[in-house]
Amino acid sequence: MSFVDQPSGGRGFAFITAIAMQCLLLAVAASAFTAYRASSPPRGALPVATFTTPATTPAQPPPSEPASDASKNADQVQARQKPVPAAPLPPVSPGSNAAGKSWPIPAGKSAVSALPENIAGVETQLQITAEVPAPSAEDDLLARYAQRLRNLIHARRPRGLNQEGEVVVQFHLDRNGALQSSEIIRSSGNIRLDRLSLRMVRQAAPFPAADKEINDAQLTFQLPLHFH
Amino acid sequence: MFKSTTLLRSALLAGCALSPAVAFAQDATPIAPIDVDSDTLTAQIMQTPISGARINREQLRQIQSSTSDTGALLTEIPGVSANTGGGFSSMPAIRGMTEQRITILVDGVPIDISCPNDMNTPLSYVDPQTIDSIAVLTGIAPVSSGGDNIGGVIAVNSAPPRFSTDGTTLVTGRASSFYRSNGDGFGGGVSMTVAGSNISATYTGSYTQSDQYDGGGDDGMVRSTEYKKTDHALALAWQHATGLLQIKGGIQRSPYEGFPNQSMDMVDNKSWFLNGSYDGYFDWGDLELKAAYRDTDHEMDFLEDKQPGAMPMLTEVHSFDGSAKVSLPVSGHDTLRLGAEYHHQWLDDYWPPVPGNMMMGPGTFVNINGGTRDRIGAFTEWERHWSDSLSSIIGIRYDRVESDTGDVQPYGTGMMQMADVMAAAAFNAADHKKTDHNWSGSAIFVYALSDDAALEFGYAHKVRSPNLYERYSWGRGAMASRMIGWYGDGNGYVGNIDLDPENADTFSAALALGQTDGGWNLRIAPYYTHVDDYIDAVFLQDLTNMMGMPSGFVQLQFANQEAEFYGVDLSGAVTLAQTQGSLTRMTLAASWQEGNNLADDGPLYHQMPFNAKLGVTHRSGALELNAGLEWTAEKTRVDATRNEPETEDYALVNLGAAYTLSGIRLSLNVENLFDNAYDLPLGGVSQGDYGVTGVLRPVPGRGRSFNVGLSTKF
Repeated sequence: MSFVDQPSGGRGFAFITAIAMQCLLLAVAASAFTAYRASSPPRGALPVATFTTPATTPAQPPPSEPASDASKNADQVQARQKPVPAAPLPPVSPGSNAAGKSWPIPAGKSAVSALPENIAGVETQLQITAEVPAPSAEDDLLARYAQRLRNLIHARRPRGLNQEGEVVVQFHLDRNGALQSSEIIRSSGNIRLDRLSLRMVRQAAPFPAADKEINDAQLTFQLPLHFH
Repeated sequence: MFKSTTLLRSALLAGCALSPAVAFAQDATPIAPIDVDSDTLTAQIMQTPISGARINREQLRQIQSSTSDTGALLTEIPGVSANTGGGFSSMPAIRGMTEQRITILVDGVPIDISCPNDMNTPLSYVDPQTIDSIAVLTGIAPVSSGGDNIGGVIAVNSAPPRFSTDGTTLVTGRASSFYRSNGDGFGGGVSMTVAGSNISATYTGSYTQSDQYDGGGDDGMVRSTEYKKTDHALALAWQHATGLLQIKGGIQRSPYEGFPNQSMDMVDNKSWFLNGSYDGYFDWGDLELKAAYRDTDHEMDFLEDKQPGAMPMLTEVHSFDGSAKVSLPVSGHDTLRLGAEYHHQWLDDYWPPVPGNMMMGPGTFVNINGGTRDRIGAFTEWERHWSDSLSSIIGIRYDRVESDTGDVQPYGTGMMQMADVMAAAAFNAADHKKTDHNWSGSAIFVYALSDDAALEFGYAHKVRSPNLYERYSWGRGAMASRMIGWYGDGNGYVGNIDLDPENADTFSAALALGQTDGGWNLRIAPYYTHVDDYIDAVFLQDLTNMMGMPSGFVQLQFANQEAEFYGVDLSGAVTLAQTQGSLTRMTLAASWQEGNNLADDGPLYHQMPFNAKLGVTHRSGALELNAGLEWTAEKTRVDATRNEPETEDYALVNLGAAYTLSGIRLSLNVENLFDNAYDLPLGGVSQGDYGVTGVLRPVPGRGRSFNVGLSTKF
């Protein structure tokens, strides 16, 4: 039957629409890729690589946050290749304080108790190290400023993701609280979680201005995000 | 001296090694980690967390050896029942709303009806062995989850693409196989992923086949229940700077599938698809683009139990689906979603002549000639998290559905074909083009009263346009009309061009008590739906057999009527014992619902009677044990218009054990342990048996079956 076998006009329309949609998809993907290349290096070469040190580096503490087996393995490999601190806090050595850099752990016990255990652990470490100078008022200010930033970023968290992963974001502010840069220094392996982490920081900006007592050099922050 | 030099060198070396990290530590001020959890019920409002349900891979692994029918396994969820179709194509119903009234998405894409008996249902294109998860929204589904439905949503998803996180090539997968003693069913499934950091490829394949099953007790063989099918799919994913690009293509071939409650069987079904999607995550929000194409060639005829005889019926369908959605986090509390969808369906349904047969010849019977159904939809939805304990989603959508079809013709112009000749002439004289403007809206609230109590409630007004068979089936001859319909009742159905879209208003509430992972939990979900212009059927005439005697079947025509549905779903679990490494839990699920046709004051067709399931599971290390008791009440509320049979109440006992050794899980289940004979309340009438025995009985349920399953992950 000729009218049975004959394709209708709808068929041709569907074909054309299908091709058009495919082209649109390709165009969006290509533009996203091109835009990204123009603005930042590819994912494989994120700034994390600039910290590469010999595999023998003994400076890294093991990850302190809970992680699945797979991500633990990933952490270990990453720690060998790219010694970015896996724990929320970078390693602390007396030398760093002796060199004149302050560490933003508040002196007040009440402030410490509001922070996670691993930070309280560092505080203990500092207390038992004789050379560590007593935290100054400047340290206290910085800790409080960091906490304010955390609250503002936390308010931008996405809901109902139902995905798991660990991301560490590093960002730099100017004195007025404007976001100067933000980047992923530890990827979850899931582009969605990485991008949402950056979005949380970027949407929370601009932040309140930093107190005059806080050094410019201290306005680079490192924030781990734990999706579960 | 030597000692101190060595010490000094060591210290220097250590200092050098430490320096980059120290410099790093000096540069960055640490902030305490942020937990982004999805655990709270209010956070998961999009998934309607209290009335909705989700079956994950771990749960599927435990039941995949028992059935190849994805629709049937959803009946584990309170509020979900399954109308019997073929061995892998039951039609799920949510809260009494049949498959045609709900949205079923496979990897986010709807699959069109491609058969006058709805044999190749959307869920017939997936296999329980290879599905990653199934989300079911039994209550109010947000308008963003799909248009053109008046009920819930079933979303079947493959595993999301996996990528290597350590720079090496990731090779992972899983495999499974099963054997079922009742019907000699067997099959297997494989899923394998090879991935780098940014590119991932996943192959998924499955095979399943079975002979006719035996009913319990003295019910004997249930004819026309055999099946066989193969699915293959390849998915590629590219994760790049701002998002994820995915392309997935696949084919399905089913050389036969018997239908116990239909006049016909499926003797061939070939379908291939290509899906493409892009998910972009930008600072301003998320962008989701999807395009999908599916081509299906479907053929019906008689398998061995319905022979001798032949009557080929062919259906060809091409579908295109495209959508663009954006999600804008406009504040820390608010997310705005906007979306546009386009869906095109083209359908040709024709029945070639049977040589030498006066009724089915000399020409081709054209049932639907290049029918099209085009839907353009747009929605906007606002999700707000008022506080940690109150969230809401409010949305509105518009769908424009335009359907049309060409002229038709009967087999011939003989005296025996006169009813169809006149019907074709009337159909061809009518205007076929119909355009519907459908407005829908939904509002959902989730309120956490305390850590142990939460409330979900919602209202929706939803609209569904008739499908192509409901509008354009035209045959008035006994045989032609009996080829139409997915009811399994043996009756004939005539379409109705003038059908209006169904309009439903639903109120749904749900209360959750206890903690999902805690010592106990209980969920209670009542609901009420009123449907204007519900597409039911009205009596046209009694059908006669070849001798002109009444056949017991009737001819009906689709018509807009008024209907209501109400009921309560209940589920709960309690931990009976928990020690280090072992857990014993008891689960309970029950559903009660009724559906009424308010135009004729009778019950609606195929409404599941009260049913309850009680289960005990014990897990100790590598050993899993489970026992289940199912009880279904008698079905006395039946649709008189369709001569729906009543069914008796029944109880079934199922037992199962599984042990995992060296990563391989071996399971043994006994289904219907006491081999009880029972009739399926939503099974329809057993036409496969009728042709052989001359006795028309309801379709019997499966008798005892020993099921063995093997599965592994690598």
